[in-house]
Amino acid sequence: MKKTWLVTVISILTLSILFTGCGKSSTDNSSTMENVTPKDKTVTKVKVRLSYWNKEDSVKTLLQLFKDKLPDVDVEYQFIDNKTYADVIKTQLAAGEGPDIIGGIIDANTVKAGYFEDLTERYASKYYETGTSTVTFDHKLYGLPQASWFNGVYYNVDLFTKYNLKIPKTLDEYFQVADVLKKNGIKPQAIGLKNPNVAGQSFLGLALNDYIGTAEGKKWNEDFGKGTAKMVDALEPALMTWTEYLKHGVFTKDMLGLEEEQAIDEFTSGKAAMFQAGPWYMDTFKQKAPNMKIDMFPNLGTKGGPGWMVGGPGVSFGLNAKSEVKDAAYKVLDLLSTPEGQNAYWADNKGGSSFLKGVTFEMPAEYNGAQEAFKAGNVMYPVNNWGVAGAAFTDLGKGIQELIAGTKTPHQVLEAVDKKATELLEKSSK
Amino acid sequence: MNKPNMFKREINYVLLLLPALLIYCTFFIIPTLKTALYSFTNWSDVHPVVVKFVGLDNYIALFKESIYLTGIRNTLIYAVLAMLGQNILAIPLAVFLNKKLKTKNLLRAAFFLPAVFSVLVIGYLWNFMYSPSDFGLINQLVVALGFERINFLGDPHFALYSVIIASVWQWVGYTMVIYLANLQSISTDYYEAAKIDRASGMQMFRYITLPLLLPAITFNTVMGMINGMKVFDIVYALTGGGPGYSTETIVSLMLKKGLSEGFYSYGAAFGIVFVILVGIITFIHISLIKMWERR
Repeated sequence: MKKTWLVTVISILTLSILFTGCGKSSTDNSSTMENVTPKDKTVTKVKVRLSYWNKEDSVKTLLQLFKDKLPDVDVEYQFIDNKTYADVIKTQLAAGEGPDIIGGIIDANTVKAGYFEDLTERYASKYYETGTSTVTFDHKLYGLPQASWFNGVYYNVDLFTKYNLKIPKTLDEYFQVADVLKKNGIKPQAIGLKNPNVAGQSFLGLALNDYIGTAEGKKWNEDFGKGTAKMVDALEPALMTWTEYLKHGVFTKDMLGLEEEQAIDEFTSGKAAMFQAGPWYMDTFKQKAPNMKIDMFPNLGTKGGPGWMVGGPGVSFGLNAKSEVKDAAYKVLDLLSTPEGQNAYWADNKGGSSFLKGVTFEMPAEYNGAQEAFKAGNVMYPVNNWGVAGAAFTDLGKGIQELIAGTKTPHQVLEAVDKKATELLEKSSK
Repeated sequence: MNKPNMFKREINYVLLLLPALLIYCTFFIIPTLKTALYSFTNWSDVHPVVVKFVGLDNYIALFKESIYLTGIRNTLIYAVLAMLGQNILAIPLAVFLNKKLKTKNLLRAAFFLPAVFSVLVIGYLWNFMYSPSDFGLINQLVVALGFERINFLGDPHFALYSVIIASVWQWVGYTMVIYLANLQSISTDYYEAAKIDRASGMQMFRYITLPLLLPAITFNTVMGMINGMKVFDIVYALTGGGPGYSTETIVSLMLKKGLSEGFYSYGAAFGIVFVILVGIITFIHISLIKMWERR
């Protein structure tokens, strides 16, 4: 009899532990209140979770500003690697949870699913439309765009001087520069083609120059996002031209096994003369090669001109519609939407420009070579106009990897992207 | 024993099993049933609440796309080769480290050590070892020996096998420990008798060690196969499924389609196909092992 009771008690205890584990704790979600007692005053701090795919270093000044200016708010930064960021956040949002302030993933689908708070009334008039257009759906604003990003081609100034090389203005000139560098045992351009995103952006740089950046190309780009135009019809000539990088031996098959970090090592050690990237790597360059002189020229095309930078509005921060600490989260977003907030964000992301009205930043000297493209307004990230078909960009990058590996033709690569875009658009329209 | 007494005795066991059964139902049976249910709907990130029944559409679409067949093929190649590699290396290693060596504990620890680390850490490490750049350790050796660089992770024909080598390196020590435990339970009498009969070392291994290692072989090969079928992390860390789609596996594609692209029901259908596939392969595998046991 005793045994039966013992077993019963153990079972009940086990079950209670099990269900306690499954239950939702009132303190383990986004809102936690903690009492902080500085000397004699009691300040109740509200925890606001902010997620983003860049490491904490890229927002450290901003986080310090929140700490200094918002004594009643404790902003907890959650870094989630870019490779899994969307999956992690979307899974949390689907479960009715997730961080309070979310960087990125604001698109037609996530807005339609009701994941984000409408920010129109409070912030729309404060930001330029050029920045908010990508996070505005049905005339409602769902995110606050931060300093713009761009990528061009960084080059080692000393190596260019040593071999008497001029900054190329066209793709042909670029290949002439590459030939000289190769003859001297220098890799022309380091690139981590293992990452499909890097492979895709390399092609976008050329495609912007040769087609997407033209009036006809811009129209095509918008139509592609609506599903009324195909990539294979418009971008095949540009992708054929891009294969010149392979024919000239600038990009090689072995680069498909190279991580971006390893490509950076090649660039900063002087083994490679050029590297396509943006301001987010400037600190890394300076840490690894403090004495290296760096400048940047824009992405090139076949016809010349000022060139194009691949880029657009930076991360947009949205407010989780299910957040339990909206008041505190609004305080954070309010501070972010001030010149002080913008400057704090920019301090660790120098190079871009702010979309908050009345805020301007000075461009660092490292981007002098790209000024002409900036002045011409040649900064564009075509994927921003693809809407829900934007996820097909990964397929473009993977297709370009297959092109380099020799397992697909440009036509097959673009056809596969069209197929994926159609699938994504059909899902969204049903 | 009369019926009430039998019930009293049985209820003890039932109550003891209940928590485990509840955990099993909560975390496996119910999610699997729900996954099966969702696989017949149009559930997606666009339709998170109102879902419609679409019959077998998701399953039909699955077998129409070559990328999913590539994923299934890669998974099978990975599972079979990684399982074979681990076991073929682990058995002689365990036999060797079961001998009276002064350094045997140190060597056992050294071989087991990689299994302690996270797969992502191992992936990061091998990424640098495999790198085609001048900083890649293996390629430095290859070039120093006068050969051409090997594009371990960037060549679609090599990439999957490079991943398998890294995985075998990590898990061979773990597999070895299980064989060691089994070896220590084999009585030395058999070997002494064999020595009297003048059996060679190879004959002792073939006719004594190997048959008596069967319990460990069964466990290691079945678990190796199942873990191989579930592979995701090492592929993710080393190649991300690339170049192109050349190293995508069932789980990586399930994650890509089911989560990243928001086709939840499609991912669910792939999940169900995966469960069935693992079930069939495990059944065949265990049947073969049983046939061997009977011989």
